[in-house]
Amino acid sequence: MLRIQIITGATSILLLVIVFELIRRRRLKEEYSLLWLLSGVVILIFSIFPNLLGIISKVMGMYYLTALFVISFLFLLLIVLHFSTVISQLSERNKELTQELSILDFRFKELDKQFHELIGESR
Amino acid sequence: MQDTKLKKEYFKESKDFSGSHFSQYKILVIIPAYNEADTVGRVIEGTQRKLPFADILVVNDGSSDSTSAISKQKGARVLDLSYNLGIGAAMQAGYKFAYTMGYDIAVQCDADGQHHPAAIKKLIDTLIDDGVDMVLGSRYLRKKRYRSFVFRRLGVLIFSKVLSVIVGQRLTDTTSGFRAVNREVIKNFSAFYPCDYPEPEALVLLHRGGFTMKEISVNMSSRKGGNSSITLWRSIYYMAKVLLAIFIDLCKKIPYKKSL
Repeated sequence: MLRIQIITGATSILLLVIVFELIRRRRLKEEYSLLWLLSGVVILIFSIFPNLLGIISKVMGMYYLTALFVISFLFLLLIVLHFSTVISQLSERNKELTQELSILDFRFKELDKQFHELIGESR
Repeated sequence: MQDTKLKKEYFKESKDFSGSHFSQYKILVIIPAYNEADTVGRVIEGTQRKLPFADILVVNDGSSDSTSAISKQKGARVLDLSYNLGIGAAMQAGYKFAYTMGYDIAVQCDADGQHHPAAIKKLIDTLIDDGVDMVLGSRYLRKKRYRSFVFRRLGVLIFSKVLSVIVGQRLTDTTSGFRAVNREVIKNFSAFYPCDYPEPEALVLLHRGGFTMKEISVNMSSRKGGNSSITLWRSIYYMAKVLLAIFIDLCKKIPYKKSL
């Protein structure tokens, strides 16, 4: 029991440190880091209070290690789902920008042409 | 309601000018094109000849051939998208253009030459005279045989039955990309346009938003380029995907709202 406690505890602390460092260096936006921080904290709580996971594993009818994996898997699932929504939003914005850009490009070229015609006349 | 009264007046006015109402409306023909250099020039010329009062917009969806250059040379307005966005997003770019430039009526038309420019006038006439929000050009409305595969015909039949039930009126050609819309639809399309299977999906969403539509019969040529390699499984797969998309559209929050 103790060994698995050390392993999960170290993993969670490492995860928290890496995520924190990434935020500090502005390589990761806070918005996207919340779920990572939350999963790090949850794993840390389970490693400090192994009985908690024992209770959960009994309730779910699984072994200790299996319950640990299932919980981590759920968190990963949440994170991936979150990323899917972020990607959808990004591609939507990308599409909007591309469309607006093409319209602005058209109008700019029209104006540019008119401007040069105007200059040509006044000379 | 005042909304409907306003709308009636808007269209009544146009009836007094019937026959010559083209002069008082700003009309845009939107032609989305992806690598259609062989046919787009002819489509533009044909449209210019049949509808000298309309502006033509080619939305070049990131083509790698000379689609853009040919269109510009023929005198069409051209939107060059930076990369290939797909037909739905290209159409939406066209509607955004129509909305920002203040067009009253937009007609969408394929670049491969299967839609005849002569029929565009009929679409616009029906839009104005019947006071509907969208007019669809259908190749199946009149009983005329179009050479197509059995699976394809079956698919068309299933789509039209499903959509007729959803929309509550008879529709025969739900995948046709030959349609005319009024300013109110242009506004709604510029804010949201379905991207997966835009033609049937737009019908469902517009209907849910309270818009009216009408189908009229038009002649279409069979596709000039590209051999249809529609196999049984592929058409079943396609049908399943479209039906799923339509089902999701029925559950979606309605993106459209009629305000006129």
